[in-house]
Amino acid sequence: MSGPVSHDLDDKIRAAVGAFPQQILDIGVGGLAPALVIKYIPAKFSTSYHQPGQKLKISETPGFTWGRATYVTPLAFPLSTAIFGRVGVIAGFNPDNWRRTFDATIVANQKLYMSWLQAQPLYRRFVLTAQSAYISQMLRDKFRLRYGIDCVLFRPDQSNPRYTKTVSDVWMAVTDWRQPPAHGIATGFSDRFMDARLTVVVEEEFEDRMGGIHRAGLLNLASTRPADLANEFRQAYYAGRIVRIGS
Amino acid sequence: MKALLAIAESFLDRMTNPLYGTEVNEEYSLRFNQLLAEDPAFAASFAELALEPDDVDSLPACAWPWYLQWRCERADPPPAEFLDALFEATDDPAIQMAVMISALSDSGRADVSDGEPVPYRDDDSDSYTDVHPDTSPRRRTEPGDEATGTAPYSRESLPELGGRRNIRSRWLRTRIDRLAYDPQRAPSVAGAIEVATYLLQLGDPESLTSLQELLAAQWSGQEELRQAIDEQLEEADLDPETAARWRSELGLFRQA
Repeated sequence: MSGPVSHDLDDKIRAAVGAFPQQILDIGVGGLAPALVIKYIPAKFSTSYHQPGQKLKISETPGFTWGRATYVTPLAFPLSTAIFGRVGVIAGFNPDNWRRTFDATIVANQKLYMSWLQAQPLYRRFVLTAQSAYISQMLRDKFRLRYGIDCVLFRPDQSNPRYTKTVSDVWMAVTDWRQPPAHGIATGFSDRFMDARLTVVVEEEFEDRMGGIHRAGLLNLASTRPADLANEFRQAYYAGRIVRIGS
Repeated sequence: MKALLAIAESFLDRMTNPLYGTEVNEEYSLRFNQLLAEDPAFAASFAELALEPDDVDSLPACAWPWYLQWRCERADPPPAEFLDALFEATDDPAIQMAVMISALSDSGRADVSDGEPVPYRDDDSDSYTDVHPDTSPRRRTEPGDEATGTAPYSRESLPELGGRRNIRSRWLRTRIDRLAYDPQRAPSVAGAIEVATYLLQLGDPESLTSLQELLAAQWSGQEELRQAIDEQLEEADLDPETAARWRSELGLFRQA
């Protein structure tokens, strides 16, 4: 899908899409370890990640911030998405393969996206209709498809202050492309990540408040967190251990 | 109703209905994908379901955009009659867009080869003929005739006939016929604007060719339709060069 877009805006968006900013990654002492991400999932789906070869799931239902994609966080933000599930699955990835990253944590890039959105013929319906979740998904997928975006970086849009820092954490929406000659965004399981493994169990339950904007913890027992969790998680991942985090 | 659809109904509802929340949607989506991975035969049969117009009510409305998109990646789209019934059953732009994407997909228009006669069903007929719609002897009303009561004329003489030949999707040609030329119904300018907006949003060469032809077709709502699309281009805040190119490609010429 590709409606009319001003030449100037088109050029600016293309210029804004670039290499993955590796500085957001915590790749360990010496910077030699492969880049890792973490995805939190409900406990009932976690046991399959005890076995090798299981892939991360592409989220394809409406309502996700950047459309159909695999949602993860760099390990540098080890608990940021723990609000979505008790079990943290860690996986490796190669950021060198993601040459087309759109960093939506940058305000100027946010403005580019909003300008592009407002130029879309369906924009008015997106803003004014109750079915906006579907149209929103269509438009976000369209944006990523038009500019061939492998990964979108964005700030959290759901949070719990004990786990998530909305002003500084970075979440990732990663695109799996359909195999040529087909064109489009893939469904099913992601081939972007390798060696996904159950590594973290969080002792907390969450429920939506304010329509899901706030994910309230139901236990809230712990007053402090261990320091350098990213490093602890990384070591546990390579050692095949499981780290348990108090609520 | 297909038995498979009946069984799948509540499952797909939980997978696609935002009312259940993202967590439930994703849980069912994961289960669905695991099922597909374990049973490719089921995936193939589900993708190739022979859908009929009566099947529109077999699934919750929110499941159809997902199903059409999913099917589009694996099999031919559903028959034009089903797509038509689904399009007619709702005003939801998400569903109508999904129908259009399905109908305009490569496989969706594969039944229409350039310049070749295609099977076509008259609105008042239950059977298909090999007569190209543009050579049908049906008579149409010339734009303006409704008001003046002048005599209708045969379709062969209309300048727009050659144009609509370029709309390769049979479903879309039939839809435009219904909106603009169906003698049984009043022309629907609002419906035509809706279709034109979707084509503009899709923006691929096939959709834009179809949009060109829709804008060029002479009927009582032509000017209003052209005006609406022109306003949409205005709202897109395009630079003058891009705006001029789009207007030129769509045949929308502005008075200086």
